[in-house]
Amino acid sequence: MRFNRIAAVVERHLYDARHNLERVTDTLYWPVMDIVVWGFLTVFLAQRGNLRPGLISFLLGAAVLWGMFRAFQRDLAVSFLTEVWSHNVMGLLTTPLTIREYLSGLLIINRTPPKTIAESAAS
Amino acid sequence: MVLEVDHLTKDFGSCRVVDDVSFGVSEGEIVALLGPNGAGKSTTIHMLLGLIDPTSGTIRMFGKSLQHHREEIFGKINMSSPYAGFPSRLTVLENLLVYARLYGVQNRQAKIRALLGLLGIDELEKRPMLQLSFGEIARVRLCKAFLNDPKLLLLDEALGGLDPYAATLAKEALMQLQRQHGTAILYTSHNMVDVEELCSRVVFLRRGRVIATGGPTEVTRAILREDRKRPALSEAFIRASRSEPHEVQ
Repeated sequence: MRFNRIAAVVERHLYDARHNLERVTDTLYWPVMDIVVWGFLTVFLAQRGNLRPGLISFLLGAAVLWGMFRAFQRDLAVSFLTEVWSHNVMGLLTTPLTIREYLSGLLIINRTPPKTIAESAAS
Repeated sequence: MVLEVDHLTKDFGSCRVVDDVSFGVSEGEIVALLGPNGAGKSTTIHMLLGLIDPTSGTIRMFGKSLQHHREEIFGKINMSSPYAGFPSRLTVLENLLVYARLYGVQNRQAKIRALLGLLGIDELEKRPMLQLSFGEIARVRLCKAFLNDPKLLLLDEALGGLDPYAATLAKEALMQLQRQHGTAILYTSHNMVDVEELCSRVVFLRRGRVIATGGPTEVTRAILREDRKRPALSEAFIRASRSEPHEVQ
């Protein structure tokens, strides 16, 4: 594994975030929506007295975890799909980039805090 | 030998698109892979790039198989193909910076700016790819292909869509690369004037089979079956396209 090639994958998606605010809003918007919706549901159930106190934090924690996994798989898939949509896969497959390096780059960029991506997009 | 192709065959179901093709490319040599539409040129290039697996036959680059030495080989070769695009929202410079990093190019910005100047597109540096014309994208593809000073360059219709001035700049850049780095070039094109000008050897395909190989004049003679002193590949191309493959072998 070569660091420069992993960095190239990260760099490519940071440039994309700079020009494509949908990517940044996707990263921020859907997890927030999930937490708000599950939060309201939890509050509603708690007010009706149908939930034991421990279950409230359990449900909210589950919502956060669910949101995280969902965002993670979606961002990973969309990152690859953007290469397919832009016909860039052939270009990438004919460089020394390995599948491991490509996936490592995607993992890094998709776990970069949204704040950092937003800052990069704004710069 | 930089590239050795031995008895390469590719079947898609019952359709044989590349049939027992063998040829080689030496260091510093420019070889044209010619043939009518559907002759198997792009399929051959895609097999050389490891994008599709051959049904049978072997491919060796720098004496090594691509299957076992992928990273090493792809560090030394590059390609340009009309099938390969770029992320459209990224600018020309950003796209090339990413590829330069993938190839581990030192001093990326300076290298890219030099190549953009060489191909006459330095003013496009900050333009997003989606704003470029087909010919401009073709020149960006060539810049990408030159980034790592490749030892072997696979060019599939690389000069297609270029205006005469851009094509002249691209040919000059190719010749410069070949002189400076001893780059071997495998080149497919439908522009026979370019082929006669650039290539020292021609491999002519028809329906997936090699029907003639040799220098441009030799291939002209073989296909036209006339004693010609100069290459006339356009004429030979039309004759070969009209004839049955066995008639020109």
